Amino acid sequence: MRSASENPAVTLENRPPEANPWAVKVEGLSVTYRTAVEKKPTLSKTLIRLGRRERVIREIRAVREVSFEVAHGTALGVVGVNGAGKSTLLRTMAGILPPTRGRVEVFGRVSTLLALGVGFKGELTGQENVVLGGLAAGLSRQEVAAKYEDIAEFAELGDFMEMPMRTYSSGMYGRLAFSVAINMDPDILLIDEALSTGDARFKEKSFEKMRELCSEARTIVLVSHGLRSIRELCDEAIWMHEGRIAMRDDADTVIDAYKEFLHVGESEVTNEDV
Amino acid sequence: MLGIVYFTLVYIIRSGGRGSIFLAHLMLSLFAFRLVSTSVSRGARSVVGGGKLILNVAFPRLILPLESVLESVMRFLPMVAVYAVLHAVVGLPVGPQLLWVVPIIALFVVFGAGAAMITATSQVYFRDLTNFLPYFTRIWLYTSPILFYAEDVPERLRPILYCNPLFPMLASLNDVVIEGRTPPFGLLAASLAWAVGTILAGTLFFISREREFAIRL
Repeated sequence: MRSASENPAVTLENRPPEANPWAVKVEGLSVTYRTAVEKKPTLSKTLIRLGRRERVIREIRAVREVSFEVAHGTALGVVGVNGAGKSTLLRTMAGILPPTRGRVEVFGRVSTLLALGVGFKGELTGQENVVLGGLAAGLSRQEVAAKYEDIAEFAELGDFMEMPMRTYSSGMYGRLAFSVAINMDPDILLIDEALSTGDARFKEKSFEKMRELCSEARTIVLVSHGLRSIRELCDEAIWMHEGRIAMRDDADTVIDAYKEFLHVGESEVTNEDV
Repeated sequence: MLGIVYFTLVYIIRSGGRGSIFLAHLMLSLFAFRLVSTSVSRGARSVVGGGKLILNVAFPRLILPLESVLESVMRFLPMVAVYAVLHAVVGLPVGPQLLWVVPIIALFVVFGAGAAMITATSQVYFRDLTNFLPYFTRIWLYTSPILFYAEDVPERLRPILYCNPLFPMLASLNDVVIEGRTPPFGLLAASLAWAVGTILAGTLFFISREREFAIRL
């Protein structure tokens, strides 16, 4: 068991993939933040507010009573307008955010690609960061060493692998981050808006790799505003709106309904990861 | 450097001080104090500084303040070598009682880890905590037996000084290293109580709040 919330009924579990037909099972999940309105709460402001008897805690219901399952080998797309709760849902599935109510069960090793290159150190070389990323993902040094060639080859960074990552462009950062994430042998890969970097060729290659992962019964959950990515890559999709699942169906049906809701047609702007 | 400044000041103020022995006491106590104070100040920044990582990667958050403590320990080790040279030059006693240094320093580290967890968690809720910390640390330094000997404190003030967690720890360290004797049971028991109590309180406080970090950062 990876973690549990204060409510004993709410658990986030990580079990072997063969133990269940589902890769991910979400039951009645709600995530509510209670957060201060000010971005940087300080002791002095808190004392002033206490003196004035002001209360500035705001409650944000980011995810509301969401339930769904994802079978092994499925690529599930998640679409929705900004603030719909997509990223919160993904972070809860990854065990980063605690559920307020409900249950998330994850069966298998999870690899996340929520923000590109997070955890990489700019002063270390690409090669050293691969080791760092691998160790952070729970691999041993030997396992990371065994995967290094594949990671470097996929990222196609050549001699840059020996250079500090602060010299990398954002696209190069993204390539290496993506390459590390998919080479961690994940059973479940959670991706949030991570395909927007890299050139067209690398994007195509990333798509190919993700299709390959799905064919190996790996599971992908992809959050993206790039509707073409969802349409091309995902078998099914979820449309989230105001924290709830507005629709779940095959990817084409969901995207068509979502576009109709947005009053947008097929265009480069709606299709591309921007 | 700071040690020499304090020594000069205090030596001038104190007439008839024990000179070089007091310098050894001062350096030893300052080094031990800095082990704790750097753990606390680095620990305070550890969680807020790791914001992006916390928001995007699932990992045990406790690593962040503990890493700060480890770094403080690594910075402390060269100071041990500097002090060892001074100890030899001054001609202070060397004997089996010095073995007490290991558990006493361990108590400093355990206490520092607990305090680092408390400040790391508090910093998430009060981002100006690091602005106050230097003032707090300076007051803490002056009220700890660094610029004075613990035994110079009048008996009636001792109960108050025991409220300072570092008082029994620094007094024990001074007894072992400078005076060459086993510290009294009362000092060791108070040091142990402070270290264990702080690490327990720090761990519980951190763990009870760590699930909120990703929301608050």
